[in-house]
This record gives sequence, structure tokens and C-alpha cells, in this order.
Amino acid sequence: MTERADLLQGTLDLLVLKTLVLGPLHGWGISKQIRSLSADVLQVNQGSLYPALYRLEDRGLIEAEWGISPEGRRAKFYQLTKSGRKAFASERKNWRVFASAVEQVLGAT
Amino acid sequence: MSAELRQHVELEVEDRVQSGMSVAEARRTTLRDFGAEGRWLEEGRSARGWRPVDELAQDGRYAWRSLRRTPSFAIVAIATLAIAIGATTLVFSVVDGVLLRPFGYDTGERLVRLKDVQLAAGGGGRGTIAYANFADMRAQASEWEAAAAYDEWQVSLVEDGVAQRIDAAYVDASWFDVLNVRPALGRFFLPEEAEPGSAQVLVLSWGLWQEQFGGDSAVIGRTVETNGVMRTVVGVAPRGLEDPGLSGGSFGEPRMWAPAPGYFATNSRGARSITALIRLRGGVTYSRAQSEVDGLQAQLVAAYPDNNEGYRAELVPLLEDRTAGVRTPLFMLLGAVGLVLLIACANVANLLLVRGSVRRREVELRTALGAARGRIVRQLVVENMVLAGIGSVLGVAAAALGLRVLRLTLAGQLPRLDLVQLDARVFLFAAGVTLGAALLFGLLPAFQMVRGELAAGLTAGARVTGGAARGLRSAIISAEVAIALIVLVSASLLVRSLMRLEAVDPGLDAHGALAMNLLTPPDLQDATLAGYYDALFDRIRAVPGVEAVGTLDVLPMSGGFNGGAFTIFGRPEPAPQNRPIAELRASSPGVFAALGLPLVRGRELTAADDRADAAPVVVIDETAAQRYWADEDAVGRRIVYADEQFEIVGIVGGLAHFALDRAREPTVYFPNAQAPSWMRDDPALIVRTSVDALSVSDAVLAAIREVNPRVAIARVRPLDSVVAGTLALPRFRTVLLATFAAIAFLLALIGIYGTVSYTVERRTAELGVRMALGASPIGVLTLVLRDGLRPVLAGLVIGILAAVALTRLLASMLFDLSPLDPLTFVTVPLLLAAVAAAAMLAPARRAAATSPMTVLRAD
Repeated sequence: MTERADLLQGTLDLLVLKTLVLGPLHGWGISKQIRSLSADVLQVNQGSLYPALYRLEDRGLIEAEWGISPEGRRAKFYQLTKSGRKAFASERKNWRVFASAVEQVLGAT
Repeated sequence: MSAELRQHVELEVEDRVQSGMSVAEARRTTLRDFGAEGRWLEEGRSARGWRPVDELAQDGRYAWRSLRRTPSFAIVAIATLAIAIGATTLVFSVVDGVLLRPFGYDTGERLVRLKDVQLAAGGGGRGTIAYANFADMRAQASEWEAAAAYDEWQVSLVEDGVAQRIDAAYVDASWFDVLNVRPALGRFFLPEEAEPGSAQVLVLSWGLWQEQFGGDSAVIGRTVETNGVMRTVVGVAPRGLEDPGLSGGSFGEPRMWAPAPGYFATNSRGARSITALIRLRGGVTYSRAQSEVDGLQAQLVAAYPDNNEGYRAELVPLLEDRTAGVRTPLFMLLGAVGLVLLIACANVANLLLVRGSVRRREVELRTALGAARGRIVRQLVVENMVLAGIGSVLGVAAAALGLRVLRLTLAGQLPRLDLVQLDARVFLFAAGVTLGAALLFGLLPAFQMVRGELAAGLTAGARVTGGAARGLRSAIISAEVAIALIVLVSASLLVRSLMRLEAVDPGLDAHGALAMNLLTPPDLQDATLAGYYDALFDRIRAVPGVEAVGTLDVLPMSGGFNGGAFTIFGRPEPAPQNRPIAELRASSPGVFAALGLPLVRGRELTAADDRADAAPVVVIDETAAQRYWADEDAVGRRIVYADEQFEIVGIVGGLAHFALDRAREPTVYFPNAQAPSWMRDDPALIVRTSVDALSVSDAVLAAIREVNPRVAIARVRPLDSVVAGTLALPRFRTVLLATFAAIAFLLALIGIYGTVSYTVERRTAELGVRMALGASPIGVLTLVLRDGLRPVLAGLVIGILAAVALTRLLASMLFDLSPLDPLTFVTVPLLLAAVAAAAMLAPARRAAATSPMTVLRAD
């Protein structure tokens, strides 16, 4: 089993937003998508996922709708709102600044 | 929502099955990974819908725990808030209830009192008027809707052979029209009932009706004996009728009213002894009414110059008249409590700033862990609201308690106090102000933090002492110290003034003397009256413990007065406004001994003088002797009063008639038999005892009733309390202001201590480094003290300057003391500085005791 890294809450939000940029998904689909895009490194615990989804919804960054899944079942689909898209852009930028800074420090001799 | 999660589980199970697990195993592992269904259902639920309430409750519990962890902060903050809110609510409510609330029957505030003011006397005085002048004005005034004359009156009410003294009033028939109220029972007066020769009628107050007549509606039409005259009760005044407070001197609120037929008509134009209440027409301004009265007064002066020259007629709004004496002290209190509120807010703000800085780490951590800014802010808000909430509840309780205490201690001093209620608006205002301050300063750290700087926040070991924050805290300390100084200086001035006032010798010896008022029935006159008093004095002297007894028509320092002008025989007649005046008293033999007035020269009045046919003599006091016979011996001189000559046979010690802080008024004592009859029927009896005054009072009262049960007795009290009564208002002011000063002082000290403690804590690293580099503990101590004292000294300077400017407002309340008294202005700031330095000592010593190594290692 590959190592699982615990995700910071704020980072999880970022990942969820990114996943939804690619199109509306239901909860399970989001966690599956994150796992596969990260080659199984990031496995999202549903105990963190759903609170994150509700949080994002309360902040108005995503909105939910019941629809029919590709498997033909009724499922709740989440999609990005306009402010969600904007938030995603700024959060992604922040993350990049942070990550490269950390990298710089680690790389210094 | 649980449907959503259930679905998630289904999909996950399918996925695992697809990657090779058996259905059973897939299910098992999935459920295991998911944990108890109940738990995420719960978490899901709290993340939805119920969230606001749940989170609020959670915030509340968190706030409670966090406050309990720092009890000293919580207690101080809550106590500060409670004091500020409680004091503000109480004082504002009292000011509103006493000064601002209009009389219930005076909607539109159209009730005014007509007063005559002597121009030469500079405006003071009771302002009583002459009925004849008033009647002339009433006939012509077009701006008056209704007007009625009023005179205080005492009644000896005789029921079942026992006399009781009741305060009452003679009024014009239109009195209740002026008040514009409806009777609770029966009716009010008819115009003809004031005509001479008409039947005698009476209206009772609600209270008297309940107490004396059992609230029986059959009282209408009953006749009662009042001062020997039978009067018919025609009506009862409504319940809770607030008295306009026109009865002067020692008379209380009237409990019955009568339109004594012909009484006012006998009031001559020169005898200014009644008062009048006027209801202005709707829409008439005070200035318009006043100019009309000015015009009418000018006519009267022209028509009757002897009586009216030199007088001005004034219309004073009733509320203003009623509260005149207490306006200034109450507004002064309002100022003081406002200052205390400011200090309290400053303190709470400081406390929260300090706490906020300490908790910055916590806030940063929570944000890094993903807490929403809104959530953090909300949690802080809840915490502050819990503080403010507890503080408010305690504050209201304190205010209610304070009001009860005020009512007990100030029963007679503050007019209208019994109707004061705690005002909800004021409470909301005070609570709002303090809550606003708490929110503002409590949320500062949150706002600083939650501006989204994730990176900066996670930097460990950041010691942010914050230049701007420190400046703000210093400014707040300076302000607190300045305000505390102002209040302390003011209180000190009042305290010293009160001490000087209490040291003033009233002139009489109040200890061990008993005073009371007698009302003799009208069938005792002249010879029978004299005989009654002879018998009375003999009987009272027989009571064991009694040393002396006597009567005086007006008791000193009880609000009564009876001033008159006389001329000195053998000197050129001065202009009317320069005639010698004195307080005139009708006295019985032995009253000087009873009052404890020493005989200075000559002799006292004896029983031989107290006869209608005796040679007319008087005794004067030292004040009169020094003022009018400064260069010669007054004994043997003569004065002329009411066209009769009197020889001065003795001089007794002077006394204060009204208040201890006024110059003593000269007095002329007439023997009872030679004084005008109206001075004789309601005397004050003074009994001097060798034991405690109250212990013989029962025996004395029994003696009085034994001699004649139809003589009414009222207001039995020790003479001490009469003298103390004049000090009640200054004492009240001083105690209240001193209390506020103490509170302000305490709050400022707490603020100083807290700030210095915090600053020392924050600077531990810096101080540790200093000590490692060779600074001595004493050096560090001095450094901390110096930095701490700087804002305090700034505050002292500002405070002194402000106090110099403001204390002149107290000048009228200070007795024999300058508002810029140097001793006070030097000692109080020094004291404040010394105590502030002492407050800083503990944290400074902690700083000096830090070990540099521990400090540098910990990060």
C-alpha cells in the first residue's frame, strides 16, 4: 500500500475545487478522481470530504443538484459557481507561492 | 444526506469489487474505513442546516471553557463591565426620573409657578407672592388657561377625640382644574365654595383616605373636624397624584385641600406668603408668557409702588422649580459616571487587546488547520458576548440594588425619588456601549490575522509586540489615568469641603435635645393658651431626665423662616431696602436653655415678660448685635417693630437658621405673649434631657397628651437629626462622588497592572537578552518601571490640566475651599503616581527575576 499523506483542510478544499473545474461530480466521484489523479497518493477520507463539500457550499463556491449518475442512479452532483472559479484561481496561486518557498528552503545548502 | 453517504458507500464497494475483492470483503473494509455510520451522519448533520445553532452552542461552550481557563481576566472583565453598566444605568435612571420626567398631569409642560423675586436680593429666596397682585394678574392674563393660589396649612384633625396633625393646603377653587386631573371619588371644588360665607368643604388625598377613613366610599358627605371647624368631604384625589412640591419650609406634601372661603382675600398686598400655579394655554411659549407677566407687573408697580417696587414677577416651569436644588449635583454625577464608563470601556478594551495578542497563536493555528475566518470571528464574537452578557446581568442587579439603597438613604433629600424606575433604554445604551467596545477590541486580533496570510501565520516563534498596538495601549492607559485623576481630585475637594462643613458650629447644642411640633386647637387663645403652656411646661419638667423645655415658633435648620424688617429707635430712618432685617421668633421662657444657646449679656426672657400686659422686651443674638450695634452695647437699646417699641434686655449666642455654609442670620426673640398671634399657634417644642433624647420621648408625649389631648403632636425627632439634615445633601454628593472616584481609581490601577504584566511577558526574550549581555536585575527593574510610568505620567499631566479647567464647576458646592486648592492638586497626583508605581512593582520584579538562559532557550 502506498503511503497516505494527511491533507490539510485548506489544501483539500483546493483539490476539490480543481476536480470540479473539470466538470460536475458527485461526492464519491470526487474522491475517486483525486485518488487517481494523484496516483493513489492522496486518498481522501470521506469523513473529511463531505464536511469539505458542505463548507465549500456554505461559502458559495460550489452548488449541489440532484441528478442521474452515469451508472443510472440518482446522485447529488456538485459544480463550481462563478465565485468558486475565482476562488480556485487565487487559491492555486497562493499554493504555488507557498510550495515553491518551502521547496527553496529545503533545497538550500 | 444520509442517502448521499449511503450511495457513496455503495459506489466504493462496487469499486473495490471491481478491483478484485469479494463482495463481502469489499463491504466490510469499506464500512471499516468509513467508521461508524452514526458518526459521519452526525458530522454530516452538523455540517448542514442545524449548523448555525449547533456551532453557536459549540462556540458558547468553547468561550466558557476559554474564560474559565483565565479566571482573573474573566473576573476583572466581568466586574468592570458590571460596574460600568450598573452605575451608568442607575445614575441615568435617577437623573431621568428626577430631573427630566415631566409630571404625569403636565403633558406639554405647561405648568408654571409664579414667583416674586426681589431684585436687590439678587434672585434667591422662596419667591412667594401676594394674592392681591396675583388676582389682578389673573384677571388680565390672556396666556393663562387656568391659575390657582396655594398656601401650606396644617390641620389638627380630630377623630374620636384624638388630635392628629396633617399637612394640608389652602387652594383656590380652580386648583384641580390647573392640575387637570379627575377625582377618584366624589368631585372637586365649585367656584362658589371659595366665596366668603360658603359652606366649608374638603378634598382628601388618596393616601389619607385609605389610612384614616379606611378607603370607605361613604366618606363623601361626611363632616370632619379640622382645626375646630367642621368641614364636609366632597371628593378624593386620584391615586398616585404627584405633588407639585409647592409647600415650603417644613411642611410636607398636602394630604387634604380646602378652598378656605375668604382666606386669600385677607392676604394683603405687602404680605408675600402664598404661591401660585398656572397652566399656560396650549402652544404658548415661556418667553411669551413671561413678557406678558412683565407687562402686568409693570402695571402693578405703577399702581402700588410701596408694595411692588423692586420686585420682578417670574414664571418658572414647575419641573425646574421642583428640582432646583438637586440639578447641579445630579448633572455632576452624570458627568462622573460618564467618565467611569469611559475608563471601564478603556480597561475592557485593554484587557481584550492583551488577551487578543496572547491568543494570536491560537487563531493562527486554527486558520492554518483550515478553520474558516468567519468561524473564528464568530467564535470571538460569542466569547465577547458571553462576557458582556454576564457583565450586563450583574450590572442590572447592581443597579437595582443601588436604587434600593438610594431610596433608603435619601428618602427626603431627592425630590421625586420614590417614583424613579430603572430605565430600560439606559441599560441598553450602557450595555451597547460596553459591548461595542468589547467587540471592537476583542476582534482586532482576528481581523489582523484573517487577512489570508497563510505563510506569515505559520512562522513559528514570531514575537509580535506590535508597535501600533503598544501605542494604542499606552494611549488608553494615559486616558484612564487622566480621567481617574479628574474624578479623584473632584472627590477630594468635596470630601475636604464636607469635613470643613461638618466642623462648623451650628450655634445651638443639639445633643440630648428632642424637638417636635405642636398644633393647638383654636379654642385655646391668649389667656387660655398661656395657661396651657404654663401647665405643659410644669408637667414636662416633672418627667425624669428633663433639664429644660421651651417653645420657639420656627425651629432652626428645618426649612422654616420668618424674616422681617425693623427699625432701630434713635437712628435716622433708612431707605426701605436698607432697613435692618432679622429672623423673628416667638419664644417661651426657658427656650434658650432648651436649645443650648449661651447668654452673652443681659438677661433672658422670663415668665414675667411672657404676659400681654408686660413691658415690651426682646432678646437679640450676637449676630444681630455685631451687625447693627457693632460699636455699642445693644442691651438697653430699643427697636421698633409693627409700630411698637421693644427694649433689648439680653443677647444670646447666634445660631445658623438655614444651612451651615451660609452666614448666620441675625435673630430677634419676642416673648410669646407679645408676638403676633399667627406666630404662636404652631410652635416647635424643644426638650433638653440629661440622658439620651429618644429614651424620654414616650414620657414627654404622654405628658403632653395628659395636659390636653386635643393638642396634635407631630414630627418628634432628636435635634441632632435636624442639624444633620442640613448636611444630608452635601454628604450624599460627596459619598457618591467619592465612590465613583474609588471605582475609577481601582479600574485605572487594574488597567495599569494588566498592561505592564502583559508587556513584561511579551518582552521576556528581549529582557533575557539584555541580562545575558550584562544588564543587572535592578537595571531591568528600572527599565520596566520607567517604560510603564511614562504613559502614567503623561496621563497625570493631562489630568491635572483638565482638572484645573473643570473643578471650577464645583465651586458652588465647596465650602470654604478653593476649587484650585493647592494641597489637593499636589497630593492627589503624587498619590496616584505612587500607587501606580507600586502596582507595576510586582510584574517588574518578575521581569528582573527572569533567568536569561531559560528565556533564550524557550522559543
